Amino acid sequence: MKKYLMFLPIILIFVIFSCVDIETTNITTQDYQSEVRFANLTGLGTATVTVQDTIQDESWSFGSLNIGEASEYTEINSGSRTVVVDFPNGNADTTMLIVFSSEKKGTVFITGDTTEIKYINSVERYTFDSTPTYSDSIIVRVFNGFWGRDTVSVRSLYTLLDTVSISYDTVSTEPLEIDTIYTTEILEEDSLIVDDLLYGKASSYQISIDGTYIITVDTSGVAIFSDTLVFDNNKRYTMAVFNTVEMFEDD
Amino acid sequence: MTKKILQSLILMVLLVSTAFAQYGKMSGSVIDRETGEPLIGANVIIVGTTMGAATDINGHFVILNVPPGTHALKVTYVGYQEVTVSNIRVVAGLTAFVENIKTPSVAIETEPIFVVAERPLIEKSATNAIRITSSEDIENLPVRGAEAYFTLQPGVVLQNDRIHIRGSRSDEVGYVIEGASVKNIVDRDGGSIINTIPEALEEVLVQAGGYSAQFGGANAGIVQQNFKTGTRDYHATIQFETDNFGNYPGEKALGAFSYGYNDIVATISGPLLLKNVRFFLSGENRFIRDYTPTFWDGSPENWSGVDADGNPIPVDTLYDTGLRGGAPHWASADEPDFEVLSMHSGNIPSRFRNRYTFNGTLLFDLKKLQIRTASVYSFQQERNNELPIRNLFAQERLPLRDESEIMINTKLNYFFNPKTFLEVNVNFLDDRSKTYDPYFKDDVLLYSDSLAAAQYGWTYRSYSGQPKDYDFYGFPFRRPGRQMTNFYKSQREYWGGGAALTSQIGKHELRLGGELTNWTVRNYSLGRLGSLLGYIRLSPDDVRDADELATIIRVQSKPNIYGFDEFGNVIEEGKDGPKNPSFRAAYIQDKIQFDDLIINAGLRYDYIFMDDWEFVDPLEPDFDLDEFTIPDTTQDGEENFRKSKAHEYLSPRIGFSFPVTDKTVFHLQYGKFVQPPGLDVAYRGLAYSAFIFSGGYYFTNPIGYDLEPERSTQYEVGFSQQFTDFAAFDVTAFYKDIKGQIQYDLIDTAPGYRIGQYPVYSNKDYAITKGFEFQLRIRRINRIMGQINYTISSARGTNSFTQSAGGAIEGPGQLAPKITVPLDFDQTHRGSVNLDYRFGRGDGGPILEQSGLNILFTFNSGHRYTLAESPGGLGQEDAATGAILNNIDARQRAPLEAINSSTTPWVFNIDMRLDKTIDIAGVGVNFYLYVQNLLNRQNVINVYYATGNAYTDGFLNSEAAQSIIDTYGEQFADLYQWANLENRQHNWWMNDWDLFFKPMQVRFGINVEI
Repeated sequence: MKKYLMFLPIILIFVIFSCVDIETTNITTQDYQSEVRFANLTGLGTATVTVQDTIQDESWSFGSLNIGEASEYTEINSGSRTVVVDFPNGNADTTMLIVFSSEKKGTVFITGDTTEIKYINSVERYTFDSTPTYSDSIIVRVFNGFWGRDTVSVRSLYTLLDTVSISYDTVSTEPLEIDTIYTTEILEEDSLIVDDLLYGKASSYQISIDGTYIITVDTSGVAIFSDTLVFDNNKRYTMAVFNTVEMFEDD
Repeated sequence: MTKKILQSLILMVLLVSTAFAQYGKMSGSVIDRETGEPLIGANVIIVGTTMGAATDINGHFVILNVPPGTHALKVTYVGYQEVTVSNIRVVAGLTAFVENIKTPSVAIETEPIFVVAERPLIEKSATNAIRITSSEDIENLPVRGAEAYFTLQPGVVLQNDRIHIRGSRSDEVGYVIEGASVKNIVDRDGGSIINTIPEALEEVLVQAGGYSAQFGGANAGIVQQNFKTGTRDYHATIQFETDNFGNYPGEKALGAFSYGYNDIVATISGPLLLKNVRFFLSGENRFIRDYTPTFWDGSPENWSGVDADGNPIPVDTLYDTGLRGGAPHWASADEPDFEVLSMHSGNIPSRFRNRYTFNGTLLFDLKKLQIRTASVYSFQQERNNELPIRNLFAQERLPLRDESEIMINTKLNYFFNPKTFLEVNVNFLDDRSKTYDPYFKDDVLLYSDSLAAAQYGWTYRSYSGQPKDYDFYGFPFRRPGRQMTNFYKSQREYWGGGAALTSQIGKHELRLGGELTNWTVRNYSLGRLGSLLGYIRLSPDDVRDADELATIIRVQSKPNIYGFDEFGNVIEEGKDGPKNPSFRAAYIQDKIQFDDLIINAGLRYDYIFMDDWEFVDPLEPDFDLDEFTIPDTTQDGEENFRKSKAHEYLSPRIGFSFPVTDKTVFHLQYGKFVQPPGLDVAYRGLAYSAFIFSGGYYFTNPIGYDLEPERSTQYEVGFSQQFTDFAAFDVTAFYKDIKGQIQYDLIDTAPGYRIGQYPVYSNKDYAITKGFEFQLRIRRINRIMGQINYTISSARGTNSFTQSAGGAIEGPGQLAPKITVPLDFDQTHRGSVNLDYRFGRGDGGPILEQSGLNILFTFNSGHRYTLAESPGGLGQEDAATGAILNNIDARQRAPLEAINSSTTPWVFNIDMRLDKTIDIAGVGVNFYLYVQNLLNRQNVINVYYATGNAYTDGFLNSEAAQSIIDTYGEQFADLYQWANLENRQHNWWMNDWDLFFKPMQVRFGINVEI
């Protein structure tokens, strides 16, 4: 029987290390991040963009953006940030506070002229969702950054003539926060993409197929200009309309 | 924390110590068998120990500090034959009398004499009523667990899992293990913090009142448990019992369902390396799935559903109406979600409780010095399923609760001489628990995070928006993935100790002692986790900063936190630091023992520091709703909030015992008692304190500021009579006056102050209880042994529980009850009859030898309640709960009679145990079967206030119900009948008790003794 006594210290050790652990931390400070890029839709020349977090004393440079150019997406601290944009010769240099929502990804479109600059923060998706794509298709939306034009309409002339119905409901591979399910049709020849899109607004994303599109921008039913854009398969785009139309690939 | 416990244990080992009154005393005399003359200087030794005494000039001896249990005395004297008296039962705090040990001369007797003592049927030295359950009783009873043993005793009422002794509230009962207090001082329902193993218990004592000055902290009674001491030779047992004969779940065997119960216990006892160092160790693993057996029906018996074409809709397919917002989850508007209803009868799914317990003692018997350590360790994990029907399709995230307990009690007794010794003791207790989500555990912000939920395939409505319930014909059923618990963790720890000097001076047993217990209490309780997460996510700049985040947690979660910071880290300082109640006492006690009179007089001084708060000016309390805290100073710079002061009391106690003869004893007892209330009425974090002032409406659970201890004065008269050689009875009458019990109250602030009233707890309630207790004990004769307990009592008071008056005070007129009424737990008649019929070794032939039958019959006359109606129909209640009247919010009840005029039905129950021991190769193997609720009687223990019965709440016959049936169809009525009336789902939702006593349980076991 004595040999079993060696179990006593084992039991003691077991007891000491098997109490409920109440010393764990249950909530920690959160460092929410946003992903953002800037697009220069002004006619003022190269815009040098910097974002500053005066609370955490951090800053992020988005480089110098030519007209019609967008920066890379960059992760910044979510919250109210100071955006500093410098133009050549001091034209309309601005410093402005913009709120970047937690875990959202989007583009800040810089619009305006020498008298005034407006920043339009357009959210594209949550950072935690993967990039919405759809097999053998493209996803596209339109943004109206046309300074001085209240609305624009965009039409397309597609080089192919197939017509297919595509459901959006399986676009996301990861669960979206809100499951938006809608259906659109591949654009037919000379079809209307968006009608009377207000300044500073972006349309919903629509699904189409890849290829070359002739894009026509109208205001008040009058065509202002046209351009030819090539959309690659399995990608997502924003067509930004200002004094021309520029295509940005969204992530 | 592990390091801290380790340090504590080392400190414990280094400290010398002991605990109080867990020892008894032997007193007796030795005489010449032939002449009857006293023998002077005879040696009297307790066999197997170094304890003993020499007889004085009258032949008397006294041995102090004897461990409880069965002992043998050996008498030696020059020229006289050696005499050994065995089977002497020593009970803690009492004297075992061994009078007139007749010792023959060696000239007459050539062999040593062995005498088996008869156990006394009455305790002459007791000056109050002490009820004892010994280890032998424990072995034979058809129930298992310390609580099951002491609730059989007179004066003890068990109602809705709360223990009431002599009409007191449940937090007034004291629990002591090996002299160390294990009472839960925080929970207002009281109870014992520590779990014990039945097979480790030497005895369980109940002192229903009148206890001596060395006991404190309890107004109602003391429940003492003492462990076994290590044996002189190695001894081991192993025991296994189960109720699962392959019939779990949902099937019956021997007329009963299985509840998935398995229990294994092992004990080992003997010397530890040295002869005078002995240990006893026991370990238990108890696993039970459905740990609260209840009458449970698996599916509706009637189902009225028909589709649009009139075809029956099967009961097992429930379609979501979407009326609770569940429609977004549908595949399309035309395709409602459905679930298949499938449950077993008898067993509530997804529950379990798994507990590991170790109990042990270690005794160093070094003649003048004795050191004894008693230890308890327990770890338990359980998963609860409070609403099994509502949760039927969402059982994944049912909460887990972990709890660990450690108690170490080390005692040192040093004998200056055989009649004077010093006891020193150190006690350590640590209880900690955590309730959490099984998937996200300590990571609280994930509890309502849709992204985290998505990893497991659960779809939320928004970032922190839980999936809405299904609506099956008016009944909510939770969807898979729904958050089922908030997060809680707590710790209750104390260091205690004391010293007492005991000396037998002539007839006086003088005792002078003091004790100290310093508690550390922590609590971390978070709620509203969905809104907290949402707010945090919307405030990214704030939540990078710990101080800002802490404020957000306070404001958004309204937590109850102390002893932790807002993030769950243990803290030691600050206004929301741990609560450190401290209880100190000193006492002097003299037990004077004459032949026909025993006087036990004592005086106790109590210093009670509850570590609660007070407002300097309660009429103008200042509060800060920006930071959600209570400031130290008012806006005018005056002192606002401070710790309240300690309270001091002197409590005289005196008891008399008149042993008129060896067979007739009277006793009288008078005493004053004081104790802190269950401290959770005062213990809240400052954020919750501020929440009270934030303009909410009717806080059902406010806070007590500057509370006073509760006090009682007790009177007791008793009479014990042994009327044959084998039977005795005692009758005890008691009267108790209790003051200062806690009750809901409203403070009217100063005219014009920014808040008109605020709710608090205060010492407003009082109660008067009285009754007679009767116990008949029959010593084993002709194989039968028995005991009958009976109590008739009356418990009247202003209110039964801390919140009973809330509805009246918060209702129109704000009238608090001022008169006494029968209390909810007033059970006028209560009793038990226990009979044990047993064949001994060599008795009854080969079949019946060493077999036994034990029958336990218990009964009570029901408890008080008030017939009532709901003044507002459904009011704020859901269709699925009907118009059930709940016990939390009395505003929902309009009484139809004087308060507590009605009584629930009588309760009768029979338990039975059969056992048979077989010797196999010199090893005793005991097979046993015990049945609880032998007749499977569906005893009603609570009723619906509206109808006074437990079978219908009357709702289905109401206009409100008909309106709901018109909306949902007859399926609503079918579900209501099944879920609520047959399975009491709405009652469990609204109240915390069942309507029926437990169904029949059959357990089979085997015990092997080595």
